[in-house]
Parts: sequence; C-alpha cells; structure tokens
Amino acid sequence: MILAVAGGKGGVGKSTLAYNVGAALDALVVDADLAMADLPAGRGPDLHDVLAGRATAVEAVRPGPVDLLPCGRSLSGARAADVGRLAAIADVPGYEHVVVDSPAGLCVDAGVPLALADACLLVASPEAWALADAVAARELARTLDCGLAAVALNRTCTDPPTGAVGRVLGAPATAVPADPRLGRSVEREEPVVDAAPDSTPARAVRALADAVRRCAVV
Amino acid sequence: MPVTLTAEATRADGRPSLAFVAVRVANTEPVARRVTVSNRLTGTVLPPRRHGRPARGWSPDGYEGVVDAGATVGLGYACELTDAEAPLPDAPAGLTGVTVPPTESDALAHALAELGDARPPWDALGRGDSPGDGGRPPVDGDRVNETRGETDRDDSDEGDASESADDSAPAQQTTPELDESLPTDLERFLDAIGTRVTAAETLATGDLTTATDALATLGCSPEALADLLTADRAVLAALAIRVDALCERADAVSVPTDAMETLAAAGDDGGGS
Repeated sequence: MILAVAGGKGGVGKSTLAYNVGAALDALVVDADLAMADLPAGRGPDLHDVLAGRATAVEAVRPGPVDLLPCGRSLSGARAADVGRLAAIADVPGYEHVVVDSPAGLCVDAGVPLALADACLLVASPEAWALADAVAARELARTLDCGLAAVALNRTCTDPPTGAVGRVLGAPATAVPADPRLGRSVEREEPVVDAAPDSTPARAVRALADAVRRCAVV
Repeated sequence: MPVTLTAEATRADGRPSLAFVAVRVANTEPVARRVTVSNRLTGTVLPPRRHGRPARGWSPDGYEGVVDAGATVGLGYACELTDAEAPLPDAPAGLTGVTVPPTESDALAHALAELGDARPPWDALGRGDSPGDGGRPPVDGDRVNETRGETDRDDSDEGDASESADDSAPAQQTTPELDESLPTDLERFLDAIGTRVTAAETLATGDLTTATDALATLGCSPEALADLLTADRAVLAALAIRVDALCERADAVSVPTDAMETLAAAGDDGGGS
C-alpha cells in the first residue's frame, strides 16, 4: 500500500510524522519533497537521480532504523527531476507499505504522490492557517481519487479540537502532542515507537499506523 | 449510437445573458469511454469550481472525462452569453469526441496536466547552471534548503534542531558554512549596498577614467547614486540598531530543554491522546 503524507502547508510536521508512522508500519519512507528535502540522506543515488532516470528506486534505498528513499538537496536536481516518474517507488520489493512524505502546497509535486497513493494521511496543526490548508489538501486528494486513511492533529497541547477537525476533514483525528522526542526523532534517526515506546507520542503514532492498516484491509 | 448526449439550456431569472446548461451523457457500451463535451452557445463557459479552481475535467471549451460502461453522467455549467437577445439553440452542447480511456490513471494524468509546476526556476539555479544543464548530477555546493526563505522543517519548538552538515561534503567557496552564512536575500541586499558604496569610494578617490567606468557599471548618474546612498545609510542604521538589540536578547536567553524533557516524561503518565 502506498500512503501519501500530505497537509497543504509547510511546517506542520509532515516529514516527522511520515518518518515515525513509517517506522510503526515497518515501511519504506520516500522523501518526495523535491525542493525542500529534510529526511536523512547520505551518499549514493537519491530520488532526484531516480526521477531523472539516472538510478533505479532500488538503488536509492538507504537502510536504517527506518528504511528511506532520500531526496537530493540541490536546486539543479530538483529542476531536472521528472515527478511523473514517481511511480517507480512502487517497484521496490519487500515492503508491504510505502510512505511518501509529500511536499507542501498544491502543485504537481504534491498532487502526484496523492494520485499514486492508495490513501493519504493528512497532517494539520491546531492553528487556523494550517487547518485551512489541510482542507485544500483534502480537496486535492478527493479530486485525485485518493482516500483519507487518517488525520493527525500535530503539536497539540491542551484540549485539542480533534472532533471538529475530524468532522471537517472527514476522518477521525488523532492528537499528536508537542514533544521534544518527536521533534528530534528524524535528525537522530530515533523513531519514538522505538526510543520511547510507552510515551504519549508513540501511542499516537501507533494509533495512526493502526488506522492506516485498517484502511489497507478494506 | 452507443454513447449519446442530451442537453438543455435555460436562461437565468433576471439575467438573460446567463444560461444554465444541463447535460446527460449515456454510455451503453460494455467498456468505459472517454468523452469530450463541447459548448455550442456563443459565450464564455463558467464551469463548476472547487476552491476557486475549475473542477476536474473542465476547460474553457467544455468538459472531458470518462463515462463508465453502462453508466450515465450528469453535467452542468453556466455560460455568459455574448448576445442576451438571441434565442437559445436546441443543442447547447455537443458530443465532439468518444475515445478509449488512456491506460495511465486518470488521477495521475490529471495531476500532471492540471497542477502547477513546482520546480525551481532557472534563475534560481545560479552560476554554472543553464537550461541545457538540467541533466547533470546534483552538486553539494548548491544546497536547496539554504536558498529558500521559508522552511518546511517539522521539528518541535525546542530550538535544538540545527541542520546537520553532510560530513562527506567537500568544502567549497560557494557553500556557505552553517551558522555563519547569511540568508541569500539578505546577502544580496547587502551586496547591492556594498556595490553602491564601492562606486562612491571610486568616484571620491579615483581618476576620471576609473570614475566613468564605475558609473557606467552602476548604470546611474552621480546625483542618483548620492540619493541611493542617503537611503542606504538610513536602512543600515536602522538595521544596526535592530541587530544589536536581537544580539543582546539572543545572548541573554537559553532554551529550557531539560525542563521540557521533564514535562514531556511527566505527561506520559497522564494517559493517551
């Protein structure tokens, strides 16, 4: 199953949740933010190379605590990347789930992951500006025939409006608390489900992963 | 015919120049068909819109989409008529194309055809990149993240999430070092002021030939340069005051990371979300 993690607005926590939900699903996580990649990368081919036809998706996989297909960091690589080739991520064998960290916005680089995905996980934060963009992302997903598996309301503090957000977006919303362990999980490559399995954020991440699995069964 | 269309147009109440068109397309074939519906009214098609954008399949000429086998699709649109007095034709819309649906998924085709290009413009690639150079492998020196004004970083508000440099990246003169490089926009802003100051210094101390060359490069008269420098002085003075104040505050504050860790661990005992 291909799961697109989207949200319409930058800075709501898509990459962090894509990484952590990917860990909970034992998935391959693809950093599809072609112009603003921020999942760990290293030497070797990356998604820019795959989308420019210079490498296969299998060659670009980077094993780790979470197996990643990272993206390049150069403007020229982003310019040369043909997002229409993103379907190649489905050619990587051995993964029941592929989680695609989608870019912010509503352009083609955000739309193609939704078009390819079987379902999406929408990420919003409680601020009004983030919710409005999550609604736009929901509409884009609907236009591209991408079902909604779950909604993550990220960086919540007290009394998160999960009920209202879920009704607006059309799926139950799971509150993910603001937590430094989640904040540093990507940089340190320490998914919270492994580093702090009994923590509140780990429980929230597992709840999101369970929602995705139920969607895959249906 | 296996695929048929019926259409009816009515004028809006109180607005004779606006017509509403109702269309039904029926596919009696055992396979899906991609159909093209064209407007035949003389005027501007006003398609259904979602969040300000025409709904999927709609264009200024009409509609294009897939009708499943044995299915009937209902469509509707408005048309701003150029002649409010002319009678409405019996066939306000017509079926102008019936084809086999493309093998590539409609969703992917729609995304590629309809959504905006998000690639960085050629101007942003900087020296060494050209339209004919798009296929070269990425170079560590032109990192994307350091040229964007806003960030998509997802870290929490702990302030400990500085970008980690790629340890394998070779040092290059064009690569700004972390923590000491200025944002690109600010760098350009200060470079522009520096260019004007340098030109003024050249005018003040150089010979006639040197001064003439400096003005030619700058592209303005000595009076214009003097006016620009007056404005630059004011901006730099205001910037210096603001920078000094921010430096003082940044030096005085420290993020209570230990306390946040303790709070987060205490919250784990309080139950789930």
